[in-house]
Amino acid sequence: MVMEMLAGDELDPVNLKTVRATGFLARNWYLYNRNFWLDDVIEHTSKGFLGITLNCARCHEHKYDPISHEDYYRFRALFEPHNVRLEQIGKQTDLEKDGLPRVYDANPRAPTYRFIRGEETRPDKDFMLMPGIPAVLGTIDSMIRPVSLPVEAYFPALRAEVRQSAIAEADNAVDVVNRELAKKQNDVAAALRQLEEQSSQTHGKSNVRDRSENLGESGTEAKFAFAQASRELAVVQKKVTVVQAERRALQVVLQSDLKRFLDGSDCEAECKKLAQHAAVTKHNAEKLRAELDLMLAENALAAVQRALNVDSQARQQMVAAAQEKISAEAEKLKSLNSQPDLPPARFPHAGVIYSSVSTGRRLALARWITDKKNPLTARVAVNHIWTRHFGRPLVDSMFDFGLRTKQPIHHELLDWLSLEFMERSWSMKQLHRLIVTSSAYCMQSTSSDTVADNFRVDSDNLLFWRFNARRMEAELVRDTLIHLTGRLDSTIGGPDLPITDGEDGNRRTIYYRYSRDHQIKFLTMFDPADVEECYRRQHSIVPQQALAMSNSKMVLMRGRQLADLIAADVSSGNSTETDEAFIASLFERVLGRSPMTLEQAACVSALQEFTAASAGKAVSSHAVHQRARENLVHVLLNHNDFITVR
Amino acid sequence: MTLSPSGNRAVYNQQTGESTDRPVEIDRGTFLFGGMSLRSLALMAMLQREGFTGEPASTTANPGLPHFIPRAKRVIWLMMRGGVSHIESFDPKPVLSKYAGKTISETPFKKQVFHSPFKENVREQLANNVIKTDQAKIWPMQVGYRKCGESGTEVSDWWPHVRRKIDDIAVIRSMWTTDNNHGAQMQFLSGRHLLDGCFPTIGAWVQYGLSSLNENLPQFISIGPPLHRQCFEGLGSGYLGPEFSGVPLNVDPSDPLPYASPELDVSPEERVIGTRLLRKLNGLLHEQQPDDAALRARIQSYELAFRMQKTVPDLLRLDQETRVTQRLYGLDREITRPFGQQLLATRRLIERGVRFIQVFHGEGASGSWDAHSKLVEQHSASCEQVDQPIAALLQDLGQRGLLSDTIVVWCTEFGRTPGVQGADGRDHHNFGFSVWMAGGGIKSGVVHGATDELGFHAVQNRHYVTDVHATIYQLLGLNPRLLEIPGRKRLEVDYGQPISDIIA
Repeated sequence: MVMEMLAGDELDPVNLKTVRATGFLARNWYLYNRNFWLDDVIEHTSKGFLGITLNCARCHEHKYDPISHEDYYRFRALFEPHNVRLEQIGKQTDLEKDGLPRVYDANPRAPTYRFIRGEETRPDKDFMLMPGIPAVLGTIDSMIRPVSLPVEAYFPALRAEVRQSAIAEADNAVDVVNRELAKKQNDVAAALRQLEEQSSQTHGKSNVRDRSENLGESGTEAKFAFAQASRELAVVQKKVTVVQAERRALQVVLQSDLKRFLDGSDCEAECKKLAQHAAVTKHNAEKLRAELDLMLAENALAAVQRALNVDSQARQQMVAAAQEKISAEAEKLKSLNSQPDLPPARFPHAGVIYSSVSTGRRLALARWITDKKNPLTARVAVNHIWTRHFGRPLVDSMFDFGLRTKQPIHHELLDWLSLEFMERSWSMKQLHRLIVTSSAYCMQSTSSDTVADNFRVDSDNLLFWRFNARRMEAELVRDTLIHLTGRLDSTIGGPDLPITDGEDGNRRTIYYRYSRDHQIKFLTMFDPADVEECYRRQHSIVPQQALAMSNSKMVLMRGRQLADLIAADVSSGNSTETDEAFIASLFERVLGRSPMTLEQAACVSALQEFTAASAGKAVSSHAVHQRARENLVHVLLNHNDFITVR
Repeated sequence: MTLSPSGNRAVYNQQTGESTDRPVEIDRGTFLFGGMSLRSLALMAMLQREGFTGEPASTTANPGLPHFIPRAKRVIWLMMRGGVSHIESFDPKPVLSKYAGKTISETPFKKQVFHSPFKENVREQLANNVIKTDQAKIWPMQVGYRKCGESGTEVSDWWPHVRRKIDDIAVIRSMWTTDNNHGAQMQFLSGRHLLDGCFPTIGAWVQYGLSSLNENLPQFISIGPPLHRQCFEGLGSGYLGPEFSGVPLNVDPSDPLPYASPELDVSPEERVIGTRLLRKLNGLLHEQQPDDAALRARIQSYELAFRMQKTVPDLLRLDQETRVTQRLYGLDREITRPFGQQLLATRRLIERGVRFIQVFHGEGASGSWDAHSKLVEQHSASCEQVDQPIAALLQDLGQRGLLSDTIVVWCTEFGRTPGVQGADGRDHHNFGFSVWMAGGGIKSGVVHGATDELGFHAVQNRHYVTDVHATIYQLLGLNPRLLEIPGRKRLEVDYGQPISDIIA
């Protein structure tokens, strides 16, 4: 997994399931400053996998730190060539709607320089730095070997899936325009009939065109409609030629590219011929497209000039704009017409061709990180997994296993788990099993008199003598609420979902957009992950959480849904027995246990109070009773042990 | 006050009404509690501080009363994040011009600076980034200054408004701290640097030590950009437990308190019944789990939330203030509005009886005062954002009679170097820097302590950051040693010494 996250594109370049793991790096993408972006890559790669804070060495060296300023930039050089692009997945050709953000080496020869004092305006250009890991940790120089990529990896437009959807899209464009053509032909015919009728009323049966100048008021209208329809038809006719030519061009260009890049062997002459043919075809399509654009621009101008209800200044502006467009289009057409045959270097291709070689730097780093001999990786991973189960890490500074970090109390446990983890083929599943079947994990979170001594000796539970009760994470609160109503949609994957659907939607929380500016408001009350990094969550307890649980539509609505669900489960009717069954089922679902006698009694009497409170307000006694149950459910969702994991 | 300081606390409490002599809006009306007396509910007894005694974690009976007669009741802690240059604020050093362009070694102060015993106090976290103090060229003051007020205290021209209030202020020019990275922000709140772990902050201690002035409001509130990745963003209460941590408030008059009322139809009666049931159920759980601090904190947070939803939205509705007051805080100007709103909200909260409010200023990971470069541009802009609102706060508190029992602290984690960093910045400097205090029990218009000629070392009346804490405890009538939690050893340095010279 780590290998895939850092170098999936070099490990298995054509397997998108592997490549998608590089989203780990892609998430650092930052449009406005490449240096910020790479700083994040370096920081989180070293903190996340190695538990070392390389980022501290960005500006300078530290007295206590064996990582040098230069080490930082050598580490950067491992990532210097990489960039992020969107890869088509499925049939969606609009990558903004659904595309796979992935990493690739865009510029294998990009140089890396040390920034003096970390200032990006002061690169030390005297020394180009070679990629590598901090010297104190070893070397991977000999492991860095360039990776030749298969065609589908560096020329994604030739992937069968992409090719087919491109052709399907071109076919579809032709179909659409053909349908439009049929419609316009009908329009023209209808307009002509109308005109003929008018004409015959005025002049008897005679040639329409000859007599049209003598038409009356309504005749002018019909004439205008006919002219308009004819103009539109002409445009669509042109469009048909354009999309057909474009489809043809796509086919020919693909044919040429396929021959050259996939059949490969010794097609010099034939390939050249194909490419030239492709160039001509494509050129032709472009020319037709330019002619269409010119036509549209001219029509637009004519329309503006015809428009009577526009004041003169606005009209002048519109005319000027339309004229400008016309001359631009005319210019484009002229340059296309005057273009000589393309030189081979400018032969058209079906899409962007990226570098066919990846530097292999990230792959070498990934291999070194995941090497059994690396003392850090497994420990850092085990510490993370342990934290998720126990609420407290074995090593407090989760991203800093450096020299200044205190020796953890349970370092032997950490070592043992790390060894087990590696020996079980780095299987997280097995590690989870090992942890959750341990006696430490099975400890009670509740305390009794028998542990009073423990409390005195170790009130912070540093020795894990009991389980740490802890608050659910933000996402878990939402997911659990929906799960309780039986509506949680466990569909995996897909593009991110708009936060406006966060309250009513049933997808798991992880699939909703989560950025600096877009977060589901409910989640923001419960210490959600930092947008940039998340090594360890906070678990605060503040009144704002109580308000969110008591007053948000999210909790109120889900509570009502849950009440319906339980009501359907226990037999209908208002008898005491069904109330008790309702309460028992509610406790079981929300708190995972049966109610104690006192709790049962409190809930029964509250149900009566709720019923009394809304009696007379609802239409039926059944509705009153159900409303009381909804209120009861809402209280249970606010119970400490709903949001607390024990 | 006629009582002797050693007077018995219960009597003292009756006579001064420590918790009730300010208008307190305890609205336990029929709305939430259905007419039942708050204290008649068994659970509420637990919520009283007395109810927490006998916990293994805090066996000291802590009735929430001062240990001796207090001079002040409330604290406003203004913290400028990033490190304000003491040289360009409250400790002007015109002499730097004389040595501009020279290194310290080339001045007559070489020995005084580099062979000072005070150099040893410091853990340098950024060894090689810190401009080499012996090589950095001295950089003159980047702004003018003048003596102001009757006290004649020198303050730079970037603080024209605060300067007018200088006679209310005691400036301390001789602060130092042990660490020179931004972990020193947390250090100023807890006395311990981040490297030592997360310890209770001054706000948490005050909340722990003193009972509530208004049960409808949190007693420890934090406003402004939180500390970046430092101990629960500077709100943490460390081993005191989550019920003593600060409540962050986002001062946004357009959305003062998210989820302040139900988003679906729920009748007031239903809410009352529901609240009562919830209290009962969580109370039953508490009987079973008496040492579950998170449970206690959650029960408290619900009680507080129910009360806050009535009080807070109103409190943060700043348009209830007069136009004059709004303008005083600079709400009419874009540059002063954000901090002005925060300080006006602070005053409104203080007025209603919040004990401790910390207001952070300066966005970004390290804070916008961190002027490694472009100091003139950054500091003058930051000063403009806060200067008028801070002066307004002092004036407003004064005219409402609140300043006499409210302590205002203005601080920053460290100062900035006399030498230049790069072309136009100053680096972190923790050997000597300035803070100021004002209000309840603090002398007005005094300057305490001094740095050396170059503004390098604090040389006269030196104070570590916890001395500011000790001063606050002293004025609030608290003896921090009596608050100590068994099993949690506090070091001498954690307590500090009250700065008696500035106590009136």
